[in-house]
Amino acid sequence: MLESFLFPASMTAGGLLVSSPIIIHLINRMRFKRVRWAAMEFLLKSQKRNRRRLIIEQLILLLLRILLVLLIALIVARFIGVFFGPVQPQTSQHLILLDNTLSMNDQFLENGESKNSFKEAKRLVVDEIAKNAAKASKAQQLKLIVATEPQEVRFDQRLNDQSVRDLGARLALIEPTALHVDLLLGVKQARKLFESTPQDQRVLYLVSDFRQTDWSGPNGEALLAELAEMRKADVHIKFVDTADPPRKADEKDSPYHDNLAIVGLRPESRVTARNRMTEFVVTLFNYSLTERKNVQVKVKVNGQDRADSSVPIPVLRPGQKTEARFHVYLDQLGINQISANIDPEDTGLNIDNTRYAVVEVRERVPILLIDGDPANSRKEGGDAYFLHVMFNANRGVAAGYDLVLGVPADLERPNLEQYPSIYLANVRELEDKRLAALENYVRKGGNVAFFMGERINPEFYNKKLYNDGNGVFPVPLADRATPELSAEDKEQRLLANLGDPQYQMFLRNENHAIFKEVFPYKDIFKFLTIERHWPVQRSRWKPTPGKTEELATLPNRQAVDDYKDTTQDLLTKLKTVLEKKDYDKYRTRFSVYHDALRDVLTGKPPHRLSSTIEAMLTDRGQAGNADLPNLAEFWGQTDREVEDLRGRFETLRDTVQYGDPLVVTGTYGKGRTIAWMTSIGRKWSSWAGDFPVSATFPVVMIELQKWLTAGTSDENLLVGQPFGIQLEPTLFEDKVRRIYRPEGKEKGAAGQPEPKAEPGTQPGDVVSPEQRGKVDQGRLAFSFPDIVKPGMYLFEFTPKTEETTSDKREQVGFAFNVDTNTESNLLRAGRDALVDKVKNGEKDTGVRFYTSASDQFTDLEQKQRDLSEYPWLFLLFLLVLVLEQALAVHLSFHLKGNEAAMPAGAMRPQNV
Amino acid sequence: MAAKADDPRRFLHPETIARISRLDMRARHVVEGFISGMHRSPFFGHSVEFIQHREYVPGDDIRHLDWKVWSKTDRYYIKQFEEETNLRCTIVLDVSESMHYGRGPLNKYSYACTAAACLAYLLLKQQDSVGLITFDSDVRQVVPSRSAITHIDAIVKAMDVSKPREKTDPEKILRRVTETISSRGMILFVSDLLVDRPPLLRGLEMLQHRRHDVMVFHVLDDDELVFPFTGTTRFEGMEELPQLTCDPRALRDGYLEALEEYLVEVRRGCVNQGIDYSLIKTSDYLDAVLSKFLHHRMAIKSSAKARTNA
Repeated sequence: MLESFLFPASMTAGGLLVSSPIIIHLINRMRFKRVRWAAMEFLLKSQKRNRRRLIIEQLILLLLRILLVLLIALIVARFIGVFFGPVQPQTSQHLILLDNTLSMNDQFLENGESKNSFKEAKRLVVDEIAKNAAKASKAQQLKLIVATEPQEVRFDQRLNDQSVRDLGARLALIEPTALHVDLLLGVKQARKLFESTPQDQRVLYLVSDFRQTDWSGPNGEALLAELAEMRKADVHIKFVDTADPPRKADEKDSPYHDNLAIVGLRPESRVTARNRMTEFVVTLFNYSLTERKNVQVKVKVNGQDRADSSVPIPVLRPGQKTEARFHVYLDQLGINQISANIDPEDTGLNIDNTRYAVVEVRERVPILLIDGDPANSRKEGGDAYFLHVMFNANRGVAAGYDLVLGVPADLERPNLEQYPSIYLANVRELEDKRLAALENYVRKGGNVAFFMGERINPEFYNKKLYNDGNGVFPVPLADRATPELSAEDKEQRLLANLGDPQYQMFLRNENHAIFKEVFPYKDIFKFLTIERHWPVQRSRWKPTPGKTEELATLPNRQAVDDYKDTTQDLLTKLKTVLEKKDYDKYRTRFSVYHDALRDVLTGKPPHRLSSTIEAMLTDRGQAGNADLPNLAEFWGQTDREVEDLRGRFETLRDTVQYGDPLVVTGTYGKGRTIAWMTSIGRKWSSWAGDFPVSATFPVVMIELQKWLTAGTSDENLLVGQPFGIQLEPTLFEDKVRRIYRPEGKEKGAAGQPEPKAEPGTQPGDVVSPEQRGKVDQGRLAFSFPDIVKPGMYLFEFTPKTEETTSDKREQVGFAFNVDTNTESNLLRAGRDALVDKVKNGEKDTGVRFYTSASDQFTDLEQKQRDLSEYPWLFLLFLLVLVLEQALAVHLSFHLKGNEAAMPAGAMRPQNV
Repeated sequence: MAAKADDPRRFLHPETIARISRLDMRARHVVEGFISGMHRSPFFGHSVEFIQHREYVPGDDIRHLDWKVWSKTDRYYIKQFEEETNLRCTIVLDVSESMHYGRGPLNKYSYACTAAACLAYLLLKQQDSVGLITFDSDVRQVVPSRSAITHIDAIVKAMDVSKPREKTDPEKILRRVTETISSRGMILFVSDLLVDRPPLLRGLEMLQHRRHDVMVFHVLDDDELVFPFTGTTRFEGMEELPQLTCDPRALRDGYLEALEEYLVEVRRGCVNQGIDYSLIKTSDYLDAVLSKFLHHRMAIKSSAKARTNA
């Protein structure tokens, strides 16, 4: 019963006071005057007559007075009403899930003051949510968790003025992070926290900026589904949007701040040699609706500006990626931190205007070469002879590399990671253990190049290395290599090529890094001689986009007769198609090609067939000359028959033109692989040694090396994501030191000595305490779950040596960047979509959407309306008061003035 | 109604009267004051006084012929005189307990006694004979009628009563009064009449039957007429009536109603029997009683005269 009152104590007091009129009445009954009275007869008569009426009137008066006391008690005790349903919860549990992810850094200017979504969120939490909730008349418990660390309850107090101030102080210490976290984790934690208080009224506040990326896709759906589940469990869901500009009511697509982000920074290689220009590719994304122009990308190396490396980007189209390249001269050995920066923006995110990369600079970059014939490797005529010559010359483009000759057993060595790439030249096969080591190495970001040769065992390559496309080798090999050419054949080929030079190798992708440099000089490949190669089983293999790519292809050496029937068939078909009236004008011209093709089929080299088809397909004719119509126009017809025919001609052309693949790239795990289907030395190919083709050899090889290592350098490590390092327990001690090296560290003022740094660190470094790992499946695993600041982190390991006291430590460096994919796009989710999905078609569900600029937070007050707020209670009180007074006056028989009413019979007759 | 210094009636104010302790003094004071206050009163004089001459008509008593007028005018004139009365007046005074209520300067008892003394004095002064009978539960004192002015002392003495008792049966008492007064006369019944009405009216009727000239002076206190009490009060009944604790205001209307009924009943009962009835409040000036009495006398005289003339 007492739960119906906000102040039950007042009601108890009121209940006791109700008896006061009765007590006063009883006391009055006890205090009376005595009168000896003669005319009792009339008094008794009157009493007898009026007894019932008097009792009723007195009772009514008494009741009215009791009612007055009761009403006063009701007003003071604030009656909230009697509930006949389930018991109304006494306590409200407010849980604020504060989004502190990267996008909450979205800044803006308000009245000249720089603000961001998170500041706004803190203001809303304290000034709007907490203060309004504290106004409620029942107990209000408020908990606060942040999205990045939902397990830790940051604030848990009952709301009152003091605790609201506490909350403000507590929030002042919380800053937005650079992380991306799925809000689902926070919501799940909130659900868990609510489970302990199912009897209370539970309100979940999602204080966030509600970006489209967080609320769409599978993650967004899961989040909404979880919220809908909570709503079903009677949890009130309040969306509190803190993003600027504040949403307006009935606004479908809310405007959002433009944002420009650097979404990628990729060095050509993780490991590079000293004093070389290292190329970086920076990728910018314009997350806005407008074009941005003249954006300067500034470069810093180890915190120092490198103006010479900065690169301007003339135009950034909205919603598009733009890449730019710059070169950095790295002269400092060791681990270098390179960052690309764009100027801070007035609005939007600034934290994604910087992206970091780490490049290890060595005196020379080691490459492990495993030669199938190591004894002759360095000798002239050996497979890798030219590689040795080139890399070890340490000059020109090849400067800075160190080709280390190894044997297959070296693959078992644990510090394979020190080599950015491994070359396998003419290696027959590998033992299973070594294969596993190689696979592991590539999977984790190592790169490997396979060069073929006569020693290759196709069975091993197909079964173990290719492994139906699941292995480290990108293509399946034929059973045997092409046969050795006889001297006559060689001569015949040479002569034929001299008379009519044909491409001895086709470059299939002019933009691929490896051949990009030499592509303009591709005619040089007409003088390339490739005598033998390992054919690829084309029947079993096709390039898979994104995984394997055929970069170079050998010409087709088949006789033209093999294509006679197909060509004839197509020519017949063409003739039929040309009979259509629309194509009259092309007919004469096509008859020329028809004759030419028929001529080719009379035993001419197959490349003539493909080139004639190519000419026919691309003939643009002569403008205005009716004899030379534009055939390309014909092939561009939307006529299905023409389209079909064109497709078939193209296929025929390719089939005739392209023979076996020569260079195939692939990926395996994080690493890149490349298969070179002929020998790298002069045994099968003239590329390395014979002029003029040999001029391109070092370029292609260096680009190949760069391409191989560039893959892993793109490793996209993101802050906040689990990161681990695995080591050989036999080689390293079980301890690791983590060092965070901030880029723009402040130099001490002049004359002030810099603080002395520990060995291996620099002033300004943040060194975490030594950490131990655990051995898992024979590997020593360290995990670092708490990397939250973007920038460069160094991990320092101690190698095990025979000497017990060794100060030698090894460092590896990684750049951690912010998750621009999920956080940089400030496009906002639709308000109605969120609310509707959580409501799930039900009404009055407690699901509300608040924006920062509105005053609707007052409905968070949850102030229970009580009787004292309704005017009619006071009207009733007034009415009862008036009634009571009226009845009291009536019952008091007030006499007017001093006049005593005399009974008529008492009037004495006038005399005199 | 403040009495002014030159107003002879100032002596008739109950408050003034109350200051005079001796009742005979009171009576004298009141009556003298009363008489002196009346100018050219037609009632002044007594029964042997000449009134007028009238021409003789056959049948007139020749003893009343004024021979002196005849001798001068040779006409017969009748000399008319006031009829000589030999009035016997008995004052029946209620001295029961209920008469002792009163909050004003005089309670009902004092007021009734004063009024009775005044009447007695007035009558004695007119040389009528006055007797007194006091009663409460029974007849207490009986003072036979005398016409000597000194008789007032005996009357006043008899009024004093030490232990008042309650009234019982008014009929019985009035029968005894009837028995006590043998000859026909005037009876002044002074009481608060707080008794049962039927026996009272029967008793009065009995007196009327005996050809007495009955006059009722109904003395009530102002409180009893107005009932001005407030606050919870316990009314303790006099004359063995039960007590009652009540809020007097609540009962006032009912009380006044009952009182009105009572007064009407009493008045009607008296009027029906030709009894002259007067309600006297203790706050009334005493001359009210006297003037009522004299009015009554005059009415009797004129009726007697009418009878005589007829």
